[in-house]
Amino acid sequence: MASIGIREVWKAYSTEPVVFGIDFDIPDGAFVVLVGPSGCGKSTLLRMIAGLEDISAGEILIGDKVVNDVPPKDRDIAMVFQNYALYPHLTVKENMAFSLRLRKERREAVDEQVNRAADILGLTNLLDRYPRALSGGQRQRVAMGRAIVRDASVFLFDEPLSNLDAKLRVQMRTELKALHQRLKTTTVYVTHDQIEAMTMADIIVVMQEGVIMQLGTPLELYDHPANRFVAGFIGSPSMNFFEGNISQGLFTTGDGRQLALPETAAGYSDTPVTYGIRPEHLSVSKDGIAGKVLVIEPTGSETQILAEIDGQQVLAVVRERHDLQPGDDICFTPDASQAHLFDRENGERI
Amino acid sequence: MTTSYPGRAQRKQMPSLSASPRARRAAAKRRFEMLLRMLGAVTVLMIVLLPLFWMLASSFKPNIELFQRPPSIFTANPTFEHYVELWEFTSFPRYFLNTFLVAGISCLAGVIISLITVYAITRFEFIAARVFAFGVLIIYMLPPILLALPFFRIWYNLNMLNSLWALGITYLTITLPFSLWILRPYIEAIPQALEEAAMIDGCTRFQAFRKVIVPQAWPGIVASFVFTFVVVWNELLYSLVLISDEAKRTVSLGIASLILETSVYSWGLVNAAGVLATVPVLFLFAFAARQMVSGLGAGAVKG
Ligand SMILES: Nc1ncnc2c1ncn2[C@@H]1O[C@H](COP(=O)(O)OP(=O)(O)O)[C@@H](O)[C@H]1O
Ligand SMILES: [Mg+2]
Repeated sequence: MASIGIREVWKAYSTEPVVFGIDFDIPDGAFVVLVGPSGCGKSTLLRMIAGLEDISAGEILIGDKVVNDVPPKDRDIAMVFQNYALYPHLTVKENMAFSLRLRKERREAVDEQVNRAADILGLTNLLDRYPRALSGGQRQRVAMGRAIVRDASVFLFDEPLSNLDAKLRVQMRTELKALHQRLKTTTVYVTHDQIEAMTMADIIVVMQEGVIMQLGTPLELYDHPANRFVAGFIGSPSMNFFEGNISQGLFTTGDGRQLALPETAAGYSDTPVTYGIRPEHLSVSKDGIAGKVLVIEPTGSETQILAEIDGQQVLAVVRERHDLQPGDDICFTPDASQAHLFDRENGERI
Repeated sequence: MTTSYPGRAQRKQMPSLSASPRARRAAAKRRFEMLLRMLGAVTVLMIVLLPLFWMLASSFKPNIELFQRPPSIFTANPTFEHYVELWEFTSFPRYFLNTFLVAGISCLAGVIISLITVYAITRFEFIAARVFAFGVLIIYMLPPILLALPFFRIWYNLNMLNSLWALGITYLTITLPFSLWILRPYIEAIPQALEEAAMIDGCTRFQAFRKVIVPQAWPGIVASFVFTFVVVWNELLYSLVLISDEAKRTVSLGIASLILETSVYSWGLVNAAGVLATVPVLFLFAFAARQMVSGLGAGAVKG
């Protein structure tokens, strides 16, 4: 096990930078998720940690050692790739034993470790199969098996679940998390799916265009997004935003609607801001912001109400059941203490 | 709207399917087409196999029957005398050895060099790569007759005429481009992630190449070895131009000489030599077929 240090790391392809001086530390044993939209440089950063890409500037440390010039095989890491990268000419067992054989470990020791990993992952019956004869979920498990037999000090995952169907994805998410709790190996996990990030991470690193937008625990990010990007990215269904101004202690939209402000807004006046409110912090009321119901989506435990307000779609999630039809008039009241305000110029939280 | 549902999934009996007249007509049509195709295949096979068959049959005929008119198809008195003569009284054993050496070395070298070259071209972007690949194709398209004389001059100047090494190196101009073009798609199809996985698992780049790339490209490696081997095995022009020493001849040159250098055609010997020259090729194809059908490569990465 080892901590990871990422010190002012840059990556440029030819002269085009794609990772812009990223800097953070991963404590020993933590499960860190790098999340962000596709193309934001998550994989590039992960591959630099793995040693598969050169580091253009900065330093990466594993344990206390700078690994910039250490080849992947000597970094004591294990990695699971998005499309698994199983060796097609080897059986499941040989795939998992590959790294141990390379280290010339005794045959019994190899067998023992492979069997233990197979047992943890439920692969015992599949050991003699070739990857082509496995389902997507089974291949995924073999890829994980290949990583865990090694007792590596760091696990790296690059979107390992994105090729699975929805149900399996949820199941594997839980298994991965359980596996981490059992092995306590420092893990860096890349995904573009914020639900995976929220459910699995100890620490989430939200990236956009090669820059860290926020780093924190899942609930910190959810409750106190540092900027408009994180506010919109984290949380599903995502936050509603209204554009407007702070004036006379109230938030006023372009259409002249007025909303109560959270306490953080004290001291601001005549400032252009974005007002963000999560769907669960809107409630259906007699008066408030009025609009028309577009779609009602009951999920059983709660109901999602999509309404149109001043030409803008607004989503509310309510637990109580209302007798509403598309086209009905509806009024929402936001819980002002839960509202988030962002500077309209630079997107920063106020 | 209340229907009753089973407590668990129950399979119903599938109704028996009786063939409609239309289905029966379609089936008859399919059988007819099958027949036509078989006929076509048999015709082609006959055309291809007839000379081979004739050679095989003639190699067992005593000399008298070889010159008999009308010729017999099967001989009543099969004999091994041509094979014995070929083995004991000609230099053919030596020619076989020569050819095995030259073909083996030039094909092995061709496959190894092209494997490494293709790997470099596909894995490391460098400007020369495209130019190089294109140049190889151009060279491959030059007819050997154009190159034969320059090669003669080169080896003559180096005082290496009549050298099997020189012949083998010359054959690289045939085997290399061939292997390069066969291997390229195989190597390109191997996902980079496989190598990366191997390197993370503890391989050096070279080990990853040996343990991942080579097994993945194995069908291509076998194919290019076999095909170039057969081409070199049959090659006559370069050996005719570069080899004049009787002891350094290759099999094809030996057979040609049997015809060219004797006034009375020893058809028996020619046929026996032809049969023997075919056998290694057949074995090689059988070996290659077994290596190649194993269908490795599926399931490396999903999708
Ligand atoms: N080999 C490469 N050459 C040039 N640009 C690349 C290369 N690999 C990735 N990029 C660019 O770097 C950026 C980040 O890519 P990546 O890290 O794969 O994003 P993601 O966050 O989706 O994993 C993208 O804009 C991509 O186009
Ligand atoms: Mg990626």
